[in-house]
Amino acid sequence: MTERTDDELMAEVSGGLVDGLTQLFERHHRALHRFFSHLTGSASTAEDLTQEVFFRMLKFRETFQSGGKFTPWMYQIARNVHFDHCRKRTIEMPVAEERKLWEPADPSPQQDWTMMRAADVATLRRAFLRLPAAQREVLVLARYQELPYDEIARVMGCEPGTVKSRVFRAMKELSGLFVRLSGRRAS
Amino acid sequence: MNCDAAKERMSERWLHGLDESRRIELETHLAACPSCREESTALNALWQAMEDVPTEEPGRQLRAGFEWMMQAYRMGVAESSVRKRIAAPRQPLWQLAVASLTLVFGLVAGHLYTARTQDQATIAQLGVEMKTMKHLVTLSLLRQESAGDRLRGVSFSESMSATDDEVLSALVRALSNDPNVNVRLAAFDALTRNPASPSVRKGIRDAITYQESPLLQIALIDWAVNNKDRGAMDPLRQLERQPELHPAVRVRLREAIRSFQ
Amino acid sequence: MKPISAFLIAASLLTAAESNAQKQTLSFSDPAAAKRLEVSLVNGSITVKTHAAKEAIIEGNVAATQRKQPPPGMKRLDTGLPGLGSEQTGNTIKLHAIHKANVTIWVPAETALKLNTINGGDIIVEGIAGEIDTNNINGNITLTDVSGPVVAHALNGKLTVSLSKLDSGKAMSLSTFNKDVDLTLPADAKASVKLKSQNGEIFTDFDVTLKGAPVVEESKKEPPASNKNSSPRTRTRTVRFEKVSYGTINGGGQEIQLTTYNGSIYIRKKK
Repeated sequence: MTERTDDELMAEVSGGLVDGLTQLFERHHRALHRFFSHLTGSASTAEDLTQEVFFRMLKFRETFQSGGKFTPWMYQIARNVHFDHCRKRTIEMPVAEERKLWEPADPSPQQDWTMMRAADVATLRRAFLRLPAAQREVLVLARYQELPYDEIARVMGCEPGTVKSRVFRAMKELSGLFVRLSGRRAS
Repeated sequence: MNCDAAKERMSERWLHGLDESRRIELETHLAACPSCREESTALNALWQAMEDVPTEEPGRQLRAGFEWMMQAYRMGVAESSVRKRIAAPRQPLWQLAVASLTLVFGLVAGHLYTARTQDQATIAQLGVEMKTMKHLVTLSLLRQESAGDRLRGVSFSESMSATDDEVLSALVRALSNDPNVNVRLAAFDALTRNPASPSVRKGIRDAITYQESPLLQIALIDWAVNNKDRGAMDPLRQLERQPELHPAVRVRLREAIRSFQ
Repeated sequence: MKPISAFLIAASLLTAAESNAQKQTLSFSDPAAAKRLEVSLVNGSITVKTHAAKEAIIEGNVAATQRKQPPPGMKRLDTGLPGLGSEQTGNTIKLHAIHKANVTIWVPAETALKLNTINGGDIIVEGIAGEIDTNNINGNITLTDVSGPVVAHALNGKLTVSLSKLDSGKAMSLSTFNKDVDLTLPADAKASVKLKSQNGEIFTDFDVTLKGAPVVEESKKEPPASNKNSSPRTRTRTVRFEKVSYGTINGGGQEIQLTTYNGSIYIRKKK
């Protein structure tokens, strides 16, 4: 049997042959876990959210249009899952566990910031988590998921050109937060 | 090229890289514009640095959870197609046979349509059952042969925001019938996390008389005392009459009965 | 699935009659598939070890029910005489005995175990990577270097578990009534623990982040009477828990519940 594409598999799942979802899981769960890990800063939260994405794929499988593209559809679901998660979080309060994960090790000023060290990486993660959710999403998609601009555009529901300016703005924002958190000048 | 275009171009470079002519256009602008140049150097470095942010590989829980979900889903499908058969006895048997064969092989294009219509009816029936993943998975896990799986089912039920009646009665069943002490204990803990409904109360009272494990007996006695559940008096007295009661349990039981008087 | 074979080890091991130890090899019907061993004793100890072979070797020490040698030209009919019974169904091997019997079994590491005994013996397991479900009423349970999920209950004995790995995806639960629960985890193990000790205390050298609100008591321990005046009073910090408490180790992960009534709970970092 030849390898079926994601789109073909999901079309089958949508039509009732749900076994194809197992193969889609094999192909995409790592990428989704990475997506949520960067967005939330917690590996275990990322596991929960990844699982929720596959549940929704199964539950709402009819909404996948036959002939449609799988990856953007998957990330649209992932964004919704993340949105619901953020909404819940504002009620629940942030967990101590996460704060601990991103604790920066004593930032040493006056260092050329093109030379990133472990402490800087921690600060960068912290800065990243302070970005608004939409900016985090666009950056994770562009930087870590390495999706092409036109696919990001489809996920975000906007023009490819808009994606470029959003990525730029998010990077600008991130650098501002990073500088503020590490107490150094970017030059 | 103006500054706005340069910014878009930088963004483009991060992801796709630039071909020769587009790169030169950008470089020319940067050479002439100090503020864009500074921005470009800084943001390029930051983009590079993001590479170093590590992520962890997902644990085995993720795969296990997915497999449970699929299993639970198939079980749900199996149950609802049984119901369908009962509901529609007139449907010729051969048609069902064809449909299920198609579901298995799924490659015979001519039969795909049959499979699809069959399946849509199933989804409609599943509407209630697929409330949330935790609901689906909890019910399926509680029926597994492995004690570790059943325990996981109990803890899944605890992480549900609203425990519904179906799950509660599965937990009561686990408390009374599960062959493993640890699973019964976990089920009891899960049941007592929320104020007990009358049917849960009854399930717990019933358990007082037939639990043999001292660990559970004491947990149940404490529950009766803490909840001032007078309805538990009879079962407690019945327990007291058991001759082979563990001494520590007997002490606790006497205290409990006294507290009710 | 019907039993493929059912027989008495004691009956098939006449040559070993002089010593009480009897050895028997049983094979799993599909060595590549999941294997399972179930042992259920009323009186005796169970030891399970691993070996590289694909079958199960059983060494049983059955309290000799004196058996007669069959007269010349005759053979014994197996009618389920008391001894150590074994039963194989597909890839599951079951052993059971009503009379006193101590058994040692060697199986492939990835075999799942279900071990139960009531009186007069301990349950000892070494190196198993399969799931373990075990129950001992009056003896100890000691599981060393195991890496599968464990669900264990020792009513009156001590429960000691040392895990070489913790990532099974299944929940674990260890409980006792009278003695300690002693769990050793790899230093980098990620776990979400639920702890419950009615009359005992909880000790650990891990950084456990508690979610519940424990009550910290500072108790002043009196030094022994002999040097009461010479040394200052030592202070020990005891963390007393509200009945059930929840915590995470290394950020949380695998769920582990530890429960005891009269014993204490120890969670140790593997050295």
